[in-house]
Amino acid sequence: MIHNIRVKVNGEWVEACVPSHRRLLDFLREDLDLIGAKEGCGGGECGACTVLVNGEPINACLMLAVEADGADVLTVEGLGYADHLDPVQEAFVENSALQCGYCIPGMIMSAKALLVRNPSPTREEVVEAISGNLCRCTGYARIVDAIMQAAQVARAAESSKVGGE
Amino acid sequence: MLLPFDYVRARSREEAVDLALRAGAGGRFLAGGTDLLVRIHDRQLRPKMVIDLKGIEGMQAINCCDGEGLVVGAATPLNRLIRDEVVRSKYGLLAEAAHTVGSMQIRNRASLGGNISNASPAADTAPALLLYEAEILTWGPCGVRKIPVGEFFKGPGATALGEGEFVFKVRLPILKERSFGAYLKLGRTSAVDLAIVSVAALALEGGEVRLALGAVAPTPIRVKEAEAILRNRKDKEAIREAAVATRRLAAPISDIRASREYRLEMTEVLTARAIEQALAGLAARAR
Repeated sequence: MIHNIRVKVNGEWVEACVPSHRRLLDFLREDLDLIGAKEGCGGGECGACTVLVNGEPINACLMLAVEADGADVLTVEGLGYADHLDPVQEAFVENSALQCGYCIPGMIMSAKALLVRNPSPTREEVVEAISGNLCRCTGYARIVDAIMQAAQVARAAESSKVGGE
Repeated sequence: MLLPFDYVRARSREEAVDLALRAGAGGRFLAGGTDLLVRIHDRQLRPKMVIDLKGIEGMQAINCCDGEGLVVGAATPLNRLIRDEVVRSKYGLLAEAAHTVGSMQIRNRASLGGNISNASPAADTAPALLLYEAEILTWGPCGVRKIPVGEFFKGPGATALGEGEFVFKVRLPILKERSFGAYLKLGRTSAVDLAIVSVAALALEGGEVRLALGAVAPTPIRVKEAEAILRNRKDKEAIREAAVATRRLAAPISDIRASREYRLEMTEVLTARAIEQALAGLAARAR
């Protein structure tokens, strides 16, 4: 069965025809060439495929593309650009919070969702927010450091904006 | 990649049942998909038709306190339940238990109805539903059925649901008394894993203490014989006796996660801890 879907991907509406069994992950990677989200386990345990759907982190390997009809999907490609990174991405770079990099797009999307919901997380809240994202290289310490720093930077930017008005 | 199947988003309860009856054994209901799509991916299931229930009116709604108690649409994602103010304040044990399921990503999709319909003995929300004496509202070829949660689970993966029937609401009766619950889940890791043993305790202001277990019997179970010990006594000795009685009522298996013996031992340990935490929490709330 083929479905005609309309999905907002990284701010732009996309129309496409997808078969019923096409996963959101395959739709993003293969149909739209957005290869930031990765397939790790394919079973919702590793979080490498994490994207935001209507602002909430989800495993794109466990959602059908047709289920995303009408939804707002944000992938790491929509977060920032090489010359204009999101503060979360900046903080990962500054803290060298990566080694092989495979888990990072998912990790960053989980972090982004956390900071939107909770701009002042504790370390424990950061750990909880990324507990569905496995990293086999870093031991997580630098990743948590990076997210804490991104939160601080975002708060500072926010308060200087408020102060300047 | 998944093997091909057809997907239909049902617009009404009646349509969902019709589709399911027509698809027969090849049909599967979809709510959050965090169990179903894993099983399709792993080729444990090869459905011909997947029937999405999320478009049916009321399937993702949370309503409270119009004399009915708390009524949760079966496809409501667990995170929405966890963040709901009424659920947190009046049915805190359910929020706490739901919070131990999977990860943030999983809880944004996984639903209350799916958690119980899959009927895992380790289903995290089941012990809490047993203690709140929830009623499972199903919709099927003969319309609505109301099934007490204690009669819903029939064995590992087996429920009271008939052909073409699905859970569409879960109702938690009004609790008139103040209460405090504790859910202790022992897993190999603190997230994403299933329970090796789980124990829920709910202390009520009137003196009742309710106890339920997960992952140590063919279904989640409530242990009323152990509860009776705590009816009039709540000293250390009574708690110990209740924990020992609970261990006797458990019937766990050995599997990849733990041995039967370890599960029995931990059932006793966690039961005592859960009772203590529930009683302490209730006392703190009363002050």
